[in-house]
Amino acid sequence: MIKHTMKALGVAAIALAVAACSEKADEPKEAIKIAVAGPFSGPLAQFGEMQISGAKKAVADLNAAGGLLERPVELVELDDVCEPKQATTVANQVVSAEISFVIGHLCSSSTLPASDVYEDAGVVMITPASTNPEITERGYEYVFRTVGRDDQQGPFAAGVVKSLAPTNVAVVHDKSAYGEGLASQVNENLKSMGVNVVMYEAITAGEADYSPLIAKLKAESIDLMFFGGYDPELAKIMRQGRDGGWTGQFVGGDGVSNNKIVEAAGEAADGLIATQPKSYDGEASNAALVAEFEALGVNASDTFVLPSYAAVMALSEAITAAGTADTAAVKDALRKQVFSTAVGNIQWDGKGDIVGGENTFAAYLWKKDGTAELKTF
Amino acid sequence: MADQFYLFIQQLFNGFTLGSAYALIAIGYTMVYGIIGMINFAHGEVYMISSYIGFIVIAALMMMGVDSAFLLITGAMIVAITLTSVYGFSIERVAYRPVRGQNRLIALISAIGMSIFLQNYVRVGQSSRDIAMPPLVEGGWTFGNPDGFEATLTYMRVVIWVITIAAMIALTLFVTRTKMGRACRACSEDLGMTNLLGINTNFIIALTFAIGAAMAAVAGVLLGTFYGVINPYVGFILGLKAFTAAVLGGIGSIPGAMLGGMLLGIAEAMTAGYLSAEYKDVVSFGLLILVLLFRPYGILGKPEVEKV
Repeated sequence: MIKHTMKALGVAAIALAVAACSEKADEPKEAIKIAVAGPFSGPLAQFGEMQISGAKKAVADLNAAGGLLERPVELVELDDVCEPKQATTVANQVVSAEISFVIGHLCSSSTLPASDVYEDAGVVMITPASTNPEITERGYEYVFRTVGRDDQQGPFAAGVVKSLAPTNVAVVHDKSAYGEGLASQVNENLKSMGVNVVMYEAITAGEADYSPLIAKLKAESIDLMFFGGYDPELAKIMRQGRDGGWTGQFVGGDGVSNNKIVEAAGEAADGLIATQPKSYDGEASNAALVAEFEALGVNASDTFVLPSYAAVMALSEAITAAGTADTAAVKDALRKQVFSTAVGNIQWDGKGDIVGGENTFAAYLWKKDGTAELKTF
Repeated sequence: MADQFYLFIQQLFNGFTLGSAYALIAIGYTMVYGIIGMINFAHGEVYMISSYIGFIVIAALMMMGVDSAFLLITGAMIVAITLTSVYGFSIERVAYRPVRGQNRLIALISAIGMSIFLQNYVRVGQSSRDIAMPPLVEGGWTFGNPDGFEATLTYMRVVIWVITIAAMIALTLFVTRTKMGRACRACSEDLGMTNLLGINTNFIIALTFAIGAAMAAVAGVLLGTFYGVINPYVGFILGLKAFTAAVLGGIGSIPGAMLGGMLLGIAEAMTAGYLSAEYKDVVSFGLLILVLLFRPYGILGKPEVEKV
């Protein structure tokens, strides 16, 4: 009896729903969920904040324009603290929540293990930050990035170092997938360019004291140190470097290029040169967008704000082009066209790398007031 | 040749500074172990909390317009030592006293839990970002050849050494010359017997935690302002190294902790300076194994007599 009642109720509900549909065309449909995975806590949280603010704005813009495939878009934030083991947990959460699209992760060491999970589950992943070459070298079909690779940033950074004409160079890294990857690329390129690399060393991230390294830099008469790693360590090294009387030039990659380093290192950060994906906030085509970001209290010149925005926008265009939120179709759509985004035209090759990635890097000179200016060599 | 000598001196300065921190923190590990035979894994976090207290006090004083480095450091030191001792005292009361006298593993798990709790407590309260502070004492002396290698000795390093040595002397005097110190020594010799003789051992044990925390607070304020960057995770690695130093010097022995800390700091600086920073931990733990092979109780430790 109860069963029958339930059935009857069910039929009635469906009938009602159908009736409602025919009455109102824009019945709320299930949202398309996009996960943003990155470090929202921990020592690298400043990067995660850039990533989330870019993605949030993009989703807000999409929803303001009526959503995707007439469905609303919903953002899901997932914190991986830039720890590989946390990243796989996050990836599994994404899969079990049946989210089909991920913007992230940020640190290469997180992206590497997480992308294994996404590839198996057929989740489309676009990282706006990870530069380790390995990420797109494994024949994965669902993995994309909006930035160039370390083997493209490496030669560029090496070129920057060379044009500063140092006599003795030290290359130091933090043993992370990103830091070591970048440092070894820079090291090899410097050597092939004939620059005199005297030291190639690793430090342990998270320690307090790097003054023995400083003494060694002085003893080896090094006048330029390249650092592959993130800003918390370089800030300490720069501070202790000035304390210890080392006056050489610091050069770093995109992992150190944010104003947090000036906050932590103070005047010692003045003159730091860092390579990073070219900043697009000065482009005329982005002027309106940059102003909108500013109204939200977001500085669009922060390294990963516009790449994250562009990643969401490219994804949304691909979903629209595919006409479905089915990931197999979307990943093909991502490879089919050239996307005109806030970070220039993006075209993905078969591996998920952007075409012309070697031209996406630029060097910036940091000043003690926390601003950076483009430097051309 | 002269350059080599100055480089050596410079690395000695570096090692001495780091060693001071290790030694001050190691004292906390060794005193607690000496009395109740447990390893207080939350001790590194106590160091971290004292750094935060120091930063907050310095920032507050600066806002009130105090700009003398001496007053800033003294103020931070007094508040940090007081509050951190309260933390040490409370940690013992909350996490260790209820499980004392039971299986040692229970206290160990409780300590690890406390350590995770404290890390997250600071993370929630103070955000997980790095907090930075401008250098308080600037400048220093330089020695050596202006054309070759110049060793630098900053004033702040000297401040660290002087305060560390003063703290160690004060602690030694306390333990050897005062009534309370004698009670501490008695507890570490035989806790049960001391209790029978009418000494409030619960109080002495809590006091030990408070003293250990005070020593960590000295290190926390000094090193925090010297390195200038802290986050809720700084206590972990430093705590681990200080624990190693305590074992190296002979766990349970206060002079052993001081010696072990200095040795470890200098060994690390020398390895990083002459070999490579990558081998730093290899060498310091290799040193630990070597010492333990030939002196299983550490450099200054005494063999434990099996109590029947």
